[in-house]
Amino acid sequence: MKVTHRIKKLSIPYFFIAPCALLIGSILLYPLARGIVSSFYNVNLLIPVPPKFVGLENFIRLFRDSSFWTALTNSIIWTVVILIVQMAGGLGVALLLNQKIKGRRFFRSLILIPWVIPAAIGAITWRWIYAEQYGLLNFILYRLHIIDHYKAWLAEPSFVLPAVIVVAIWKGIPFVTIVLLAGLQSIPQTLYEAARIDGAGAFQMLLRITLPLVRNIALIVALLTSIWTFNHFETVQIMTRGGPGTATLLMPIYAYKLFLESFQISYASTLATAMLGLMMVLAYFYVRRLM
Amino acid sequence: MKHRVKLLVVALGLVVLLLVPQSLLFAATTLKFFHTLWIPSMVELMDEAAARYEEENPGIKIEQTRVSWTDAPSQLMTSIMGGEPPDITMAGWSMVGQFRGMGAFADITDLIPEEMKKSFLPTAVEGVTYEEGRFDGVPQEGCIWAQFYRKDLFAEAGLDPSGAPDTWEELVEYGEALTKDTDGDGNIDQWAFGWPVQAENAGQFWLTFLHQAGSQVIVLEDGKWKSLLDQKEALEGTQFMVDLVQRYKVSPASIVDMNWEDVTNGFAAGKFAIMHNGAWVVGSVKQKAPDLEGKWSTDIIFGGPGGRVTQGGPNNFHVLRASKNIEQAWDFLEFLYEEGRTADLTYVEELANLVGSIQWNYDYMDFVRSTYEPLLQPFLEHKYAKLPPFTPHWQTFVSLFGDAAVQDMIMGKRTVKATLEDLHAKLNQLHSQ
Repeated sequence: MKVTHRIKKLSIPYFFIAPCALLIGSILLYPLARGIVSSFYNVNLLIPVPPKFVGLENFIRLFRDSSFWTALTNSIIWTVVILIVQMAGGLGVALLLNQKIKGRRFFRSLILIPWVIPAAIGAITWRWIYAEQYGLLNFILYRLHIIDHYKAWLAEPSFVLPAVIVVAIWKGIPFVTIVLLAGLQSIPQTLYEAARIDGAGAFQMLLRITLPLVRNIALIVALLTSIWTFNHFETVQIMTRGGPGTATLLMPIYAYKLFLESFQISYASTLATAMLGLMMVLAYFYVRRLM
Repeated sequence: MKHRVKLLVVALGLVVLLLVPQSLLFAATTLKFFHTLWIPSMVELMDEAAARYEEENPGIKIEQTRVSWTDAPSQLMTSIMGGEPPDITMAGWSMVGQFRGMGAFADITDLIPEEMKKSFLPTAVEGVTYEEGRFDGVPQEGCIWAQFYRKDLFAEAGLDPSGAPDTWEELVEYGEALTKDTDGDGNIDQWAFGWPVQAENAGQFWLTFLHQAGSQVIVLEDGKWKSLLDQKEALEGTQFMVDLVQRYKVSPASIVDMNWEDVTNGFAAGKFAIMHNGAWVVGSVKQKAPDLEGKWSTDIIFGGPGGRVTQGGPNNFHVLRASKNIEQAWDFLEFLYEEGRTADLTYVEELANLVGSIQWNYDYMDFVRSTYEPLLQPFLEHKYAKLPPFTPHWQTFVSLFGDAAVQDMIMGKRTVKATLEDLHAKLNQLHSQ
């Protein structure tokens, strides 16, 4: 009786989380598992033959695929640059918003605007800003004599990736700012007071108090930002579709082309599995630093 | 008491008849119709046609699903793979080869009346037959591409404003006169020729140059698709396209980021003296630049060594092989092709008429030659129109390799010869699967 009662008591929490777990399992885990399994087959919807197990053939093909390496290189540059600028910029803005300035609440609300604008709307708007003939960017830079003629920012290979990176930074920096601001606000002010008494300057307080105490929350934000940025699709798809050429071909864009334009389901699953693997390695290193 | 019960049963029965859908009571057939119509007048016309068909055919319900042009292939594939295929689908060029190759379309040869088959224009027949004499679809509205040119800029450059270039050589000659720095800042701001090269436009318009050079691009030999991108015609067509930007400098490299609307805006703003675009752009130019009335015109496309060729052709209606109502689906299509709001035009012809496009049959061509405005006349030259290759993997090829390669060549990042060798190998490799 006692044992039965104990089992019942221990199992009750699981009954409560079961519905949620089942939902997550069916929406996330099952498709994830199916996708990984699919990468070991040869499913191409345009070739209607029974699926055949091909082992690692798709992975070997992937490693020999020049488009994969181009997309991976672009994705790494894209993720690293955006991460660094968002973290540095986000911290800077958070430090400013943490000061006791007039209109602080207003500025804290204002900073959220890029974050709340839907990504698709933001991408379309920026495409207009970058437009060669009537774009705002050319208009301003030309009148400031920074450029001597209107430039096609999204048509020049050397400019296009930085141009879309700017858009992604603009979109994501509010999230980093708000989370880091929350971290800054949790630092006891007494620590700063004590440091001032001891003669510490602003920079020393930043290095010795602020940064160590926001480290953990910064690592979490960096992890999330890295994953979201690496998997980001809509901005590039709307602005450049991965072009011109392969200048902005990212892994998610390549996966989209394979899945929904070419219907190479298994090969696309292979690419997606590779992306998952990369993100898990990244997450492992972040979490290790957190422990 | 018994009388009251009887009255109650009768009353309940009447309520059921009034409130429960007929389809449930009379075992109605639902025809799922998947299409990409989005212009309000076309949507309204199709709704009207469907309602009339339902009225004339009690027990049949037309269930329309509207999707965007770009999403149509993936949405149709999802519906087929999900076991819920439509009975009838509209298919654009990019879809026909893929879905035909996987056997998605039903053979409706025996359902189409002979007279109707003979009424289709040759290019249209090419698009709806999977082998000689075997039909898996019927052609509907689709436009032809041609040249738009600025008569005012031609006159300023000392060129005859009565027509656009007829040949590649003339295009280069006109180009040199029309490409200029109009404000003296040392940068070219008026270009002779523009065409869309962004995203899927790259491969699409590249085909035009290939065909103009006389290339067949890819052929079916002994049951296998064989690439002809290694032939001299393909090299010549591709090289000319690239030379317009890199050698003759009559087109800017920034076209790699331009879709049809960007090029149209450039034409309206005087950035391009000539543009290559589709028939629907006539209305767009009028709307964007009403002050240009009388200062621009249209002309048939120029020709290359292989002759005058432009992209153009119908979109199609297909009945899906997986449909459980093939004959009924054809009956609805036949209704659209034989009935109309008025005695003058059938529903499918009126769909084309609403947007200044073509319904690809001989009768309609006679109608439009006498009714369409002069600016639309060059877009009626169907004899120059050529469809893309309807191979199962052509769309995969351009999506994964072709579009990016064309853009790279135009930007000068890759040479034509080396790129064509690479593309030739990839096209063959895709079709050997």
